[in-house]
Amino acid sequence: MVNALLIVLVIVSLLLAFAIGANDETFASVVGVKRLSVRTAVLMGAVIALIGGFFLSDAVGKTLRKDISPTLFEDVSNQYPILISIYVAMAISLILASVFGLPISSTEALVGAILGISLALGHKVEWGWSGMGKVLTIWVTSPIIGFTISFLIMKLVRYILGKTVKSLRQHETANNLFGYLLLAMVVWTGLSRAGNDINNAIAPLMILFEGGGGYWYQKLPLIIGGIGLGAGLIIIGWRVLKTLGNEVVELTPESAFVTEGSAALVVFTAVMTGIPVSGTMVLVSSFMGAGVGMNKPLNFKTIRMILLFIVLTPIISGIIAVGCYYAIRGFF
Amino acid sequence: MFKRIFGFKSITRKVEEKLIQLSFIPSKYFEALYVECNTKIPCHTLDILEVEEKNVRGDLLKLMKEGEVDTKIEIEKFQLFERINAVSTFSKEIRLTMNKHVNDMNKITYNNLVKILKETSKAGKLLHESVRQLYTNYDSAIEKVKEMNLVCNKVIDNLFSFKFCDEEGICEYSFEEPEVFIGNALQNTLREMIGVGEKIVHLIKIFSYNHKYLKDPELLVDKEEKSEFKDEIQKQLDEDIKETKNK
Repeated sequence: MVNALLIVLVIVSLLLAFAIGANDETFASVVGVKRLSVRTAVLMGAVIALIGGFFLSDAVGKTLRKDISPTLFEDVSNQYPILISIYVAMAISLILASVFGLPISSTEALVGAILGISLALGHKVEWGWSGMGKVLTIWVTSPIIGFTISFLIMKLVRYILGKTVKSLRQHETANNLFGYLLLAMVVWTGLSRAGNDINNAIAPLMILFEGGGGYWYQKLPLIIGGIGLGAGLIIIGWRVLKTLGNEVVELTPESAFVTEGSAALVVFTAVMTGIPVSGTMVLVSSFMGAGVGMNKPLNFKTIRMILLFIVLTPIISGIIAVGCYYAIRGFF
Repeated sequence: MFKRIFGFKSITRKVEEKLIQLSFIPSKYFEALYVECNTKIPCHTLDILEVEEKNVRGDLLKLMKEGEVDTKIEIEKFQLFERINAVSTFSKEIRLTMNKHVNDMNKITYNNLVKILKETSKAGKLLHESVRQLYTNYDSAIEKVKEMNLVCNKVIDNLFSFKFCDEEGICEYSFEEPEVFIGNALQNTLREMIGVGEKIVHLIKIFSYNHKYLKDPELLVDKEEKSEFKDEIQKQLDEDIKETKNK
């Protein structure tokens, strides 16, 4: 029974990683400015997902597993209903966000689910700086930091270009240079986001692989997450990249570079310090910062909807997780 | 993958080279046409130029296809190419009409037309300079566009006075007259040249990072102004036709 459940959880985890990979828009900008073809971007994204997931995700995973509620995953008798409830809550929240066509934050959904179940089952929640305090502070500050960094870099880039670019030839040379820089930034963003996103799919599963087996057995969830994310990118993700890169996103190489660079900086710092940050929110805020830096008007209606979803996603996910837990616990 | 990453620069350079080459053809064409019409000896340079134009156009299309025209800068460059192309297309029309009606026109009218061809060649040279300067210096490109617009408008004015008045100063107008056909073809060519100038200014406005180009009032030729200008021309034309009918 336990082994069968473990297999089911691995499959669910793989599917979740697959879904996150299928929605990964990291490489859209580099396709948009035609530095990579959709096929190359997808293959590159898959490889980077594997590498980033394997080497960078452990710190974030530790925060998700232990720092929010240190005792939740130690409750061995309840382990399976808790894990299933978390996955169900995440899946429903992600689908709901997709229905509204809003940027999905799997991190918020996961943290909301863990928090909801911890509170409902009376487990201790670490509200201090070592737990939720750090997570909430970063959730509030990371989009602001992303926006500010992106805005300032954009202003600086445009000032320098205004002083140096005096002809179409120079403009094309600058575009070319920013194209290379963008490629480097996208690889960095991909690594950082893979480290962050893979954990959203495998963090609850990691607890089952801890302690037993050798090094590779313990790292198995990371490999599963990497494969899932990469497969999602290759099988479905190319559609997202094609749509965003060729049809929706109208980016110039310099604005794409500024957006990706700012997002990468924030997400990478967060991943290295073990904070589960919402990569999508940081990227959206960086887009807005670059837009304001280019003197483009902001769509406040969309921003209000995004802000509403930032607040609602963890709450909805937490409520669903609790509801699901009480609905299925009788079966275990 | 490597071609896309590293071959990008070479394609843009080739497109630049070919666009500048294409923009030089109208000037050379009008010069040769002036010589042909003035001497009434068939000029083979014109045939060579027609072949050159066809080849350059083909090369440009091939290069643009290689670079997949879907980013803003490539779309704008493609539109610039189309406008330069339109100038060449109308130029060929002038040669055909001139050759067809060379014996139907009186000498003075014909000579006036030949002089206008020389002026048009000057405008063509400025067109080439504008495209060349677009790639090397925005300020100079704007200056060249302004100069070209002045020359084009001057030629269009001459064309109007020539079109409506005969050698005795009597204004007559008939759509059947060969000079009207030629005049219209010339006018179309000049309008296309002005169109190329507008495109160059538009390119500078959207791709320069310097705000001075956006604030320069002389560059802000908006749609309303243009339509007013067109209305004025149409009004003048209608009045002339009305007058001719009354007479």
